[in-house]
Amino acid sequence: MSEEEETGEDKTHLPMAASPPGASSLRLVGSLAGAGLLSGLILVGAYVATKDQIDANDAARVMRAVQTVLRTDAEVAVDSTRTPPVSYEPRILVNGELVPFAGAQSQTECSVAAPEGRCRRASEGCRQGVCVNLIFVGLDEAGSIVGYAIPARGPGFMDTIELIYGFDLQLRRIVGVAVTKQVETPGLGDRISKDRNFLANFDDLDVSGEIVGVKRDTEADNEVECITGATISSNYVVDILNGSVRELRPVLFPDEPAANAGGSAPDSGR
Amino acid sequence: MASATGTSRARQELLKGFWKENPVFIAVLGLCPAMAVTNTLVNGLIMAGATTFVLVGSSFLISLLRNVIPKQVRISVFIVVIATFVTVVDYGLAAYVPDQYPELAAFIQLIVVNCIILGRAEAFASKNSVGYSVLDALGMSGGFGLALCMIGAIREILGSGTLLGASLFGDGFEPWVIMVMPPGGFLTLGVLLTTFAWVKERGIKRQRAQALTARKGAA
Repeated sequence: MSEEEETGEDKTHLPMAASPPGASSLRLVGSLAGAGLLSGLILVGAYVATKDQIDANDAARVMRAVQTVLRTDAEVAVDSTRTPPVSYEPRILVNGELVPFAGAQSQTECSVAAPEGRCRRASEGCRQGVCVNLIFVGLDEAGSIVGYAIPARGPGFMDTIELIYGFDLQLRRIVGVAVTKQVETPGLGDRISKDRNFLANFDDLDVSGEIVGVKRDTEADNEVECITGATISSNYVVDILNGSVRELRPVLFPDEPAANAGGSAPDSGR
Repeated sequence: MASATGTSRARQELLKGFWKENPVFIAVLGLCPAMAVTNTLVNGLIMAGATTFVLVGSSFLISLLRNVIPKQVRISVFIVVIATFVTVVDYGLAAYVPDQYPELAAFIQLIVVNCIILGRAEAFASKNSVGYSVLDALGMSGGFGLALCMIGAIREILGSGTLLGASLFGDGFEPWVIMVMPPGGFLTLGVLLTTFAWVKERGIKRQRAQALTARKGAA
């Protein structure tokens, strides 16, 4: 089976000028270019064929996360200090006000030329040609807002981490976090998605100030105990939450005097 | 042993990957996925399925083009072909198995560097006809899948008390948690490698004993 190959192997010891016909530089480059071209075509085809399904999967994951973080399970119903939401409404921040978001008006991608277009992420809506984070408000039976499910994202150890966190309006605290997308180290950083002890940190988190990640047992209500061996990924989650709370402070704590804003009207972000 | 008729050789090429030349237990290749994604049986099955797709597809294509690809760039072309198939399977799993995909994502992409794939491409597909190459790929994938299923089943049963998610022993069972963590992977693989080596050794001894008695009988 391999006899013919052994004589072939010897030819590699000859100088380039004596290489066998048909193995010219042009043919080598041509083969690699041809392989690359074919590969590219197949990959583009596969990408296009699966894009819509993958986006639908991500949208389902976002909606599941929205419903988890404000916790509509039996536990919450028994806890009398919190009312579970019965429905969720996507809203978009417009000049400090949360305006209901009707959804994409057209199938073209959101851009300045298509300000009513579609954003690929289910957690975003098109506003003035730019994809911005939506805020999902949780409404009770009477239709009043009981909490927000807020998408946020930021850099992680390997790549971007995307998450949804729940903010209860009565407690004025974070009551849950669900990581929707991450590619952290398998077995270590990726535990930010599933480790129950880590996620329990966010069941009652004080965000009146900054949240801090610690490597020991938590002592204060604004502390998050990092996963052993995944301190960096855990701290990136803390950073993402701090950044989002900071940006949305006028919405989450409307009674607080605006610290840096000159006028009395709340401004979205600084 | 000279190859006999066509169908007999076909049978041999197909079946060798399952037992005699099992890539994980005999050739000791592809150990990373064999330990990393076998914490449950279903993860092992999905990885085996993905690897089968890549191995059969790349063996088919490489065998088809074996007289066209110049020798000097063959490894580069093999890698391009393998990486293309891996990316296609990655998109496919992300689209159609979204619940298990996040756990497997990093390891699916590592199929590119699974030595079994490149090893079969270089040792077999680039030197044999398309038909035999596909049979060889199916056999090797089957053997790899068999290995993953054995390891995955053992680890899931002992480490979680379940099989394919269904609880086997009820509430009284105290799971041996280390079996679903990395050390459990090494332990299971080690025990299975030892078992296979022992069975193979016994087979060799028996063959030698038979040859010896045959010679004595002839003398």
